Amino acid sequence: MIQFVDVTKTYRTFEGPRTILRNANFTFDDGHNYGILGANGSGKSTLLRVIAGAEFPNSGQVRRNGRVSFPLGFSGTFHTQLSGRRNALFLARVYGADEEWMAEFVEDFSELGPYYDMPLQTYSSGMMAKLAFGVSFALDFDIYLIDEATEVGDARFRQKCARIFRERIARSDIIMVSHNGNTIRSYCDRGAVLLNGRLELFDSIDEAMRIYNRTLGIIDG
Amino acid sequence: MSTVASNLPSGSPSIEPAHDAEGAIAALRIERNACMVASDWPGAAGFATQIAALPTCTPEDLRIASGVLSQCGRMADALPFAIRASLAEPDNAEFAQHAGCVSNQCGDDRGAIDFLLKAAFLDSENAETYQQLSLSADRLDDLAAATALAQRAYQLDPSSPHRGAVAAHYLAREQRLAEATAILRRVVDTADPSPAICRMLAHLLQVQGDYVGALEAIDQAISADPDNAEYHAARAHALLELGRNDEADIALQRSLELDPANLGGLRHAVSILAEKDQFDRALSYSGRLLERQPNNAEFGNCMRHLLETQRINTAVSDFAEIAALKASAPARRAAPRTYSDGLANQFRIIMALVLRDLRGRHGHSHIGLLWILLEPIIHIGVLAVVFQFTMEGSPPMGDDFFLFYFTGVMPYLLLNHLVMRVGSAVRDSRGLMQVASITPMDLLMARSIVEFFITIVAFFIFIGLFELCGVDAASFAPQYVFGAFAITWMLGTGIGLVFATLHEFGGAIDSVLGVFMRIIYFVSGIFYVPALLPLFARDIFVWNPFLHVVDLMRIGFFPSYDPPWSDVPYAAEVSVVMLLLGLITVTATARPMRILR
Repeated sequence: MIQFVDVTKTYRTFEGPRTILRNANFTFDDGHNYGILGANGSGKSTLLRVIAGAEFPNSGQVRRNGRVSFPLGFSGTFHTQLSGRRNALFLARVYGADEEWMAEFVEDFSELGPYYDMPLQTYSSGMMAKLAFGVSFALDFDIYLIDEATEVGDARFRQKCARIFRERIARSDIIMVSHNGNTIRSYCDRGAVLLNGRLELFDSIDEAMRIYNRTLGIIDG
Repeated sequence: MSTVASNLPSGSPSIEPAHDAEGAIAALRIERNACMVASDWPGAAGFATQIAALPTCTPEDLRIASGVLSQCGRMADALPFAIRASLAEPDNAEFAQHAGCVSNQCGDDRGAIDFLLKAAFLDSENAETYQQLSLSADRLDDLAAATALAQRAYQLDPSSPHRGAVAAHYLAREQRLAEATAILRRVVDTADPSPAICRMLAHLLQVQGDYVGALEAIDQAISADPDNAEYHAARAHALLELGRNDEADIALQRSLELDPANLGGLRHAVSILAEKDQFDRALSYSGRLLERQPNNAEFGNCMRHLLETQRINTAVSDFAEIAALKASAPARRAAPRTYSDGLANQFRIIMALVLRDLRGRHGHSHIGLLWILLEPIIHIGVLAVVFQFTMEGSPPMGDDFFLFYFTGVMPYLLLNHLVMRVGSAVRDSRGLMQVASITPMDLLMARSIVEFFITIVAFFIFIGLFELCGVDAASFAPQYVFGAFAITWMLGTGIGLVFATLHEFGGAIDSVLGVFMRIIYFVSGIFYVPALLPLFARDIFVWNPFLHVVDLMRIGFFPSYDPPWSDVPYAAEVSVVMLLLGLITVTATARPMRILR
């Protein structure tokens, strides 16, 4: 469960500060996958980092119950001089996971072959994403955060990720941000719309989509 | 005595009577003007250059020479005449403007700006001058100035659709879409617009989501130029956004009939449909693309991506299914966390960071250790060689120059590395803090531990090397030597933490840091003994806590050394205060440090 209590969050843009949330109160319940819809530039990625605990709100409190992932596929935690294996081992240590098991899982999942033991400098962005996803899945979080904008690699690998989520649907929840409802619909059962400093939650994706599309002016009335 | 119409090429040439003194030039002018009237520009150019070569030629002649050469497309040849004309008659705005235009065409942006500014000064109401200035500004990558100048040109000459379009173009490039749209709308409403301007307006409106307006504008463009394939494709895109798929289909068909090779319109239509979740139609368009170009890799990828997305969509077609699966799952309970867990976690994280930093420092190569030794070796070696010759004989302390400098350089290198690397730790690995449990303090502490560890390892290797070379270095007094290292660690970490905080306010602090460390180097007795300093200088230098640290190190190595000015408690106090100050400033800025730039 993740609870936002009276949270205000702004972020800096070239045109000055922009408010993502203003005194917002809401709760992501356990046992549900949430899809958050927001227009480009509405602060979806920053919201995700606040949920992750990577950034703090300007005021208010975020309470978390359970292990929350870093934004999925994010490769900024990696050291580019080190190999995929070393990076996996590092994150295993940070999260207190079984190091050996983790190194093997990631090797298996990310399908990097000999590159797994080469420095990340030699990786393509697709390989980087594979490693990042492998590490995220190995860590077995209670709540996975997904930024739909992150690159996922080729189609087959995307499917593999989707399959993993299907397998884990019972034990892990997902909070996903996206600017279109397409992907969200195939992962989530509840929806939310980020707009004008508020996050409005809906019991169904379709309801959220309807409101979101109206704000974009695609559907009238 | 002679006046020639100053405006080229529209000006009417007047013919002069031939006087004896200027008979030749007048005859040439007649020939030239005749060519100009007949629009025989190459012919005119020949006569004009002949005239310009004569010493009695007037600025007008030069201006005409440049004009006719420009007409022939010989911009590089025209430029010197244009410049000479403007220099010969500096008060003529038209000459200055012309010189600016030709410079622009020749790619001499700065020259162009000089002349154009003069022209604007002489005649501040001439739209063309501002338009040309905006072109130069754009070439010099000053988009803001280019935009402002183009807007001014349009204000001065609002009846020109061309100036409106240029101003709108710059505004759009600055992402000022609303203003660009307003200008284009005015152009379209007042003048008889070209289809290209209507197309531009349609594009701007489409980007801003005003599909009805975009459709209107593109229809206007098509009514003026009905056979442009690109216009029909743009019309199809607006219709697709409006959900008028059948009409869009017809428009796309028309576009492809007009230009079968241009599949960009169709490809973009696929993107629009995919974005709107209309996969069936998107697939059919994508199929048409592949039908026309079966070997196009991009079209193949596009098709595969569509199929993939559709399959994932149908794999879990209904959120109710997910909801049911979720609901049937057993309830989870997160283990409660205790304070000691938190402490153990933090320790584990710092150790993980230390390992990562050590491993990552010099990549995969094994020369890492060598590199750690190389820096002090070079440093000590240079000092020893230089001073061995200048001092001619024995070092200030002990028997070995290398050992003497070693005792000064090692603590300095530790201090320098701590300040530099702790100071940049947060900036180097901001991404790491996307992991919520890693705090800025963890990063900074890990860096500090790594630097300390590396220096201590290097220290012992050097002690071994000295012994191998027969210099007695191992019999140092550990309480002084490690005391010196401990104080250095606190001082360096403290300063590093403060600089890490200052980094948050801008990167300019880096240069301050470099200067700061250089000053410390010279006032700390690293390559000399403070006893050699004049008394007044020493009285000032003893305020530097690091001087006492270096002395403490030397006391540990040279038992006979006992400086009367030594005040180790003072150095230790300053270091503790510095460390506390660093800890406080970092704690205070921990939140902004987490923000991803």
